[in-house]
Amino acid sequence: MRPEIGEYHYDWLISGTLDAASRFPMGSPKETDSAYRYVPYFKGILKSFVDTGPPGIQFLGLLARYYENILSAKKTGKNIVGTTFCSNPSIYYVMDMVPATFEILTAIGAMVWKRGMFDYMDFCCELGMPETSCSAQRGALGTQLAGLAESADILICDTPGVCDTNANAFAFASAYLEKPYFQLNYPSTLGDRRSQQYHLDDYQAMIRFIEDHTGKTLDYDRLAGHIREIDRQDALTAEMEDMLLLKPTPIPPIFTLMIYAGRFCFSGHPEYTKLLEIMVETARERMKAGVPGLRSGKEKLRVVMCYIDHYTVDMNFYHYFEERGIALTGSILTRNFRDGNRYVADMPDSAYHIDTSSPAAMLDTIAQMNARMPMVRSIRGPYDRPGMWLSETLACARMYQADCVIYNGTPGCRNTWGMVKPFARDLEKNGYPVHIMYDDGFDDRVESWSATRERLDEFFHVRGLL
Amino acid sequence: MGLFDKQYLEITDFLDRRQRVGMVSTFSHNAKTVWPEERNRNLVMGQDTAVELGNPGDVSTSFLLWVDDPEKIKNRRVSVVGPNLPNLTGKQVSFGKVVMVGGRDFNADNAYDRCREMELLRYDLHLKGYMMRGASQYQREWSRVSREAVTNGFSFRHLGSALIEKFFNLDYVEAAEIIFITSGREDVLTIKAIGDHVARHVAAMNKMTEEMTFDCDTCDYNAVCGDVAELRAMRAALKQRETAAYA
Repeated sequence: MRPEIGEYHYDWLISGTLDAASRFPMGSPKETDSAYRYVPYFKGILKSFVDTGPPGIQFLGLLARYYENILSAKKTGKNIVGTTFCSNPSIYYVMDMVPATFEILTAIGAMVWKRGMFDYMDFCCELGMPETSCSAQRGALGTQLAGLAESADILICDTPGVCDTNANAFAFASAYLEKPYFQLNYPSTLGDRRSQQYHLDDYQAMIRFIEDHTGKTLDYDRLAGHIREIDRQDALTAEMEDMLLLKPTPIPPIFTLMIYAGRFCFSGHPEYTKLLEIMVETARERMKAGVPGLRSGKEKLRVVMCYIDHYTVDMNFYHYFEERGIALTGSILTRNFRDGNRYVADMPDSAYHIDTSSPAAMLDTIAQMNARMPMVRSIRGPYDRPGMWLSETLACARMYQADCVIYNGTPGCRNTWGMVKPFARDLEKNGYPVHIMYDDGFDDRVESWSATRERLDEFFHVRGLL
Repeated sequence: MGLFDKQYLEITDFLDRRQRVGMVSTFSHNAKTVWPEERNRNLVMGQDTAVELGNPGDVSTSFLLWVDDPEKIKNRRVSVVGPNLPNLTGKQVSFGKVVMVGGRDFNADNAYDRCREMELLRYDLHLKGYMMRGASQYQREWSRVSREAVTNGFSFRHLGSALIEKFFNLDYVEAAEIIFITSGREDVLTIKAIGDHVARHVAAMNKMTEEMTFDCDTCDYNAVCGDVAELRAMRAALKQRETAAYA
């Protein structure tokens, strides 16, 4: 790590940046416009959110709040749990902990800093993690391992058997930082009685682990409140999913990111509900006025991202879709698989249901919800089994009337690289042109954004899509 | 016996029993029962919804069957077991829908294609204020009706009539009748039990047509075909066709 990087506490650095960013649009529009020249390095990312209007401004506040929670955790007597995006954070909030989701923190840094999270990623390798391990964890984890972030008190992941690079990153962190570590395991099937019971049993073991290490006990009244809030959030998300089905859709590309980032940070929190309400209202007004979500005003193409998005600096990935007139109908991360969504009509086993009628019902609800978080839901078994990656992607591509499908991940995504070719071949057989992006969603050094952009252009041109 | 004769009798028996206790209202589709269409942007959002039919949290069933004798069908009749749309209480209700079609010349060669064609018709409805939210291979149907539509008088009469009209675009359909069930969970479950048998027959038909495997001993639908002569005839015809192709 460069010595100067090690001089700054990363969490304070990024928290200060996000806090300032959330206050930036608080003045008049003229004041905001004039202020951009004072933040030349952050103008791109700031404008991305400010130009999105009230939803973007609310989202900036949400990110600032996320870091504020992390920084104030120790002071308020809360434990920090280092965790993954595949784990629903509600249970941590209910048990009075502060989640620090590595992939979210890495993505924020990658989109905000021109220097990305490269130094922190490399620091993990300096300590012995392989270069081919997932960059999504390595960014935020590097800050932890270097002592430049608020240290996690315990580590919890739910990816063993689904994503080895993810699970091993947590195992490495546990060994290096000498922190207690819990792995939720997932079988290769979803929805059958055996796996449902397995999810519940394992989740209860996780709660016992948290209780043992934090001294806090699960408060079922509080859990019920969070689940009811999730219920409201799911209903709002389903409204947006419905609007994504429209052609042209009134949902801008950046909304698809805000749906899942908000959920990964604040599922079950009223702040996320408020964000969703503002997003639904904004999109609804557009829908009523017949205005597409794309600023260009014309939807030329519809894309389904079959895995994750690209988190390059300044939100350039999302701007690319805006500039080309391409509607982004979401990725594996956007869909929550609540039973109230249209896309689960033919995949009932892939969906979760909410029931707060008893403690047992609530536990089952949250365990099954957790088991249906992105990646652990549909990459857990053979890619072409019912309900797994291929059938989920095909269902979404059909329903959202996609013109093509794009794969993006990181070199560490061996769980998908292992079968991405036959997966792409099967999608092509079903009539969907597929582009496989050979970059790293969190690390522009693997392939620069300008090269990635050219390859996307080439794909759209060669396949006659644009 | 026709493919669905047994189920047809069970449904008409169910309807008769409900009629006797005054739970059924019937309408006859005519040219006056039209409702405006709205294509492309016909989205009914949660906050605009008057009633949600067949939400995943409730019981839902929707299936279609046909009989080879059009005279058996009460042509153009729309029956509603339970309250009609304006009188439905609660935002979500258990929902059942049965479409019965009478036609000619359904046989082993055309039954599969006709079934698929008829199943797809429900996606062709674009009635203003009515939105199909999900229809699954598990014979569930989940839809929303907007407050505005209900206020303006939209009812199952319009929904049923629009669907019946679609069926008459198919040259082999001579009669069509629709039954909606909104009388509660128990009634929908009763109809669903009948629909499950219909689904087994259709699944057996799909399997033999799509997979072209005729090893009955290893087939999950062995018992279904054992009971239904039409399925056995269909199997025999398909096997004969395949044998001829490789001769």
